[in-house]
Amino acid sequence: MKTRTDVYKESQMQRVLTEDERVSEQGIRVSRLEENTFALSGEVASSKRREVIEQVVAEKFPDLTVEYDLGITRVHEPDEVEEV
Amino acid sequence: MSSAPSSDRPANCVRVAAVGDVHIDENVLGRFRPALERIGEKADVLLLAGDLTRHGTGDEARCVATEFADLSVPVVAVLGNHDYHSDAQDEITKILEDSGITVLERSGVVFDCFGIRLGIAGAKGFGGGFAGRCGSEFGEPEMKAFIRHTRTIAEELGTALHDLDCDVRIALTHYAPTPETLLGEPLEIYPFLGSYLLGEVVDEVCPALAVHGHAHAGTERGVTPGGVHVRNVAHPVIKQAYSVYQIAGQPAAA
Repeated sequence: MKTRTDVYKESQMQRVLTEDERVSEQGIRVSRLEENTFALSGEVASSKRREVIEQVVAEKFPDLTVEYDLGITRVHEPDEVEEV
Repeated sequence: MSSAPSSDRPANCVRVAAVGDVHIDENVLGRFRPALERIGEKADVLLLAGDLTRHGTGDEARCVATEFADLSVPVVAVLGNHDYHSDAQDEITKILEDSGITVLERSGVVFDCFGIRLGIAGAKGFGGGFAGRCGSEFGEPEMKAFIRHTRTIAEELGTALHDLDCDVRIALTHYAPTPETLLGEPLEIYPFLGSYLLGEVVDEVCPALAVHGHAHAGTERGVTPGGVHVRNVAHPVIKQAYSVYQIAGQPAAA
């Protein structure tokens, strides 16, 4: 029987994103696309943070292929007022 | 306290701007400020729903103060879990308060908005989960402490909400008081995102609005089981510098 070699990688990556002091992001979603290939998606507050995430993940998981879909959260003024 | 007038402002209402999870550090410093310079034209008060910093350090709190202090409207904040990460929450609170930002933790504040007294009670809140899927004060000390922390905060938030002497009430937390604004988050992590205990005390007082953050992949709009409007203003959810909510209110009869 073929055994998956990446079975705990999603959890390990999620913890690195939160607990590595260079990242400290809890809002990034980790998804497994296929064996040893993962996707990171979500929004971060600056392009610098996106760079650091890619750097840390490459350092901690050098044997995995990771696809990134990380946007920078927009900071424009609101156009509308919602009546509650 | 009183606030400056905003233009095009309908009578007998208050306008509340809110954002959470801004996670300010030196790399983010300055990104929000351009959108905040004219906030007085759009709102009467700005609420910050926790996770103001990334690591919860004094240096990051000074960045928050630089970004959000000295606006044309009062700024009211609660702290979030990130703001506790370095055990410097008291230092952060002092830095923000010294800059003029009001920091609430199981406490309240009232502003005069053109004759309408707007009361805000706030607390960080905590997790535990929601109806049918919640933790209990049972078993290991760690588990009991977890839920006790939420219960204590909720009870004291309820008291702060109840004690506000005002015309319009708002509850401000970091953690969610309802699962409705968590839609989009994985169900498995709901117990780490909020607690029914927060919703229960909100429903006992029935404020006009409950505002929270924390759930980056959640949904902006929801209600508590008792029908109180809830807004998740986590920055990745609202996708703008802040959202503005208009609440009708009548000054109390003299």
